[in-house]
Amino acid sequence: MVQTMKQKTLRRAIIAAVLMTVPLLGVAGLEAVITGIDGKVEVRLSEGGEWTPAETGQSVPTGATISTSFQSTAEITIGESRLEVEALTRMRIDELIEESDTDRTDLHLQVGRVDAEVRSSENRDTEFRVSSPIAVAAVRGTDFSFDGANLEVSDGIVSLSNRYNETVSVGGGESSTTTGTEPPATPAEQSESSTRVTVSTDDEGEEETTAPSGPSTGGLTINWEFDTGR
Amino acid sequence: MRHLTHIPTVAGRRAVSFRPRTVVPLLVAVFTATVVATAPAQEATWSGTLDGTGSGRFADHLEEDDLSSSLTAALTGRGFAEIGTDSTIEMVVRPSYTWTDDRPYLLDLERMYTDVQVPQIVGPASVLRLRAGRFRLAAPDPGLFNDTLDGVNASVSAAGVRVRAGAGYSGLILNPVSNIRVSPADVADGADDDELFGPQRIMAFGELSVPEVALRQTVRLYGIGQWDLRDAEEGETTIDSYYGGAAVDGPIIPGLFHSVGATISYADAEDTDSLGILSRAQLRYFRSDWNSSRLALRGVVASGLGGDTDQFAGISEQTVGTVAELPRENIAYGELSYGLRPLAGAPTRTLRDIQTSLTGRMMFRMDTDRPVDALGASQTSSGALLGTEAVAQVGWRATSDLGVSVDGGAFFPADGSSGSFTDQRATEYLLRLQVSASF
Repeated sequence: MVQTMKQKTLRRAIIAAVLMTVPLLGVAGLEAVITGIDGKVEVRLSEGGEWTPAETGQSVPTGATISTSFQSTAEITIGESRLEVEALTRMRIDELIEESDTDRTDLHLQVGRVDAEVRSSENRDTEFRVSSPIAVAAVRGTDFSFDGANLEVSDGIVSLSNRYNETVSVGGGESSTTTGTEPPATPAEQSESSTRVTVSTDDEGEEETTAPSGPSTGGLTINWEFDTGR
Repeated sequence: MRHLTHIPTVAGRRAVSFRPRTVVPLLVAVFTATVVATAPAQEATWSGTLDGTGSGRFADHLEEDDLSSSLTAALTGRGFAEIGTDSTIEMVVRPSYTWTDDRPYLLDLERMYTDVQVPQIVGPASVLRLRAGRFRLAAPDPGLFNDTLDGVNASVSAAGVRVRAGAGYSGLILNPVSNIRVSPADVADGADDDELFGPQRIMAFGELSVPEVALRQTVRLYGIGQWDLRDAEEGETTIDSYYGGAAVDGPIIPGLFHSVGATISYADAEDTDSLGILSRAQLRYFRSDWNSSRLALRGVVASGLGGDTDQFAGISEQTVGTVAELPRENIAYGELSYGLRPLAGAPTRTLRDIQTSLTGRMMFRMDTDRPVDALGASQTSSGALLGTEAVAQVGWRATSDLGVSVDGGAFFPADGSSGSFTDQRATEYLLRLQVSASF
């Protein structure tokens, strides 16, 4: 049967619409919800937008920025994960995606400190990433990275990368740091420097050094749990 | 910047003016100064340090107590500039003045180097780090050398692999400062006050490092060469030496880290050659919640002349033991140390930055047919034990600009049939005070 040009065009349009719809069926948005506020916490929904007081139960969309004031904190729940936004922190939510088998969260820490408890459900991967202007840290096994100057891990394994993608894995009870341009300290180096006191005041005078100070752009603590019981 | 054009001088000697062999560091300084001066973004800082050390050795076999002290004043200047989009250049200059008991003064140029960092050199996730000039250059096995040299060090990180290569020349380092001691001629020159500079040797190395290749273990492979540039004089010999080695380090369980490695040496002299080995293993356990505790167990074996191997040929002069200071060849030792910060929970950093540590060490001869090269060595005993040593240290970083430490220790030499010393070598004690301040 010979198809007319109009029939061909209509058929292609239907196929294209179906193909465009299929991926959307497997991708939904994770939701970030403010579940606790202590002190003055503000939210800006977009760059250049107005700062408004945050409210408990408020949903924070992608592109929004959260700001905490002096002696103020906020708790944010993203899926199974929980974030404690410490005082004097400004953090932007860059990505919240729930794919068919992966929850993907991408946060940008402009300044301050965040404590995170990253959890994943059974049979699902979690890609949890926090970035700062100088480094990248990521939960291992999910191909995603996280930027920050100082990293402390309570449990699990997180990778910390600098600007040049030089990476170290940081396990539970370990820590690392990077200036952004130097390779991140290995956990052994970091443990050595944090347990030893350097007497020499010459920066290069001794091999053992005190804990690297790093830039003051903030740090991140990740508590990683994998719950297989649910 | 006048100090840049002055090569250090030793008291009582003629000042060293410009010579052809001063051209390299001079060119580095001129080049860097030009780049820093013309770069769009730049900053410069300076600082100073004062470091004092006083120590005393006490033992019955010493004719008199061995007391010594030194004071070093140094200025450090830094210039930093961005070049291009994300590349940087930094220059560091550090002249120093040292006063000691036996030398009225020593004017030295401790550091004068340029750092260049160029990202995306061989791909988007890569970086080249280059350092050239005078600086402390550490071999892939720091047990070989970790000394101030004039040279270059370059590293490239890309695709999960790090490659490092470097080379240095020791012939422009002042003799009292140089620690390069390969041949008997080096040792003799080191004790000769008429020698202005250290041994003229070139060191070069290459290293391939694969971080976290499996189970978070990092593997390193390296090769090192060292060449004597001097002609052998009557009764002397020149020694070139070559090294190859491998090391693995990484975590075992949370808080526990290991490091194992071995370096094989091949020394080539005019009339003989030798094959030696230096191997080491270390375990370190850290518990920050136990007052920042650090427990370390370490073992090192440096081959001697017996068995299937020859004497391990090092490059820098290395000694074993804080008090004993025995030569690091034909020796095996085990060491256990524990340190903590007793006031780790204090509210102020001034109190938190107090550290105490204890170290115990046992040392053995590998080849018992050869007496140890030390005072009071037995010429007849076949005992392997050299002795034991205990050292205690208290360090305090009172402020960011002031640090103080006190070390005290004792070496108990082993004599009799199981020991390597005669009873002429008595127990030796060391007490040392160090103070460091900056401004």
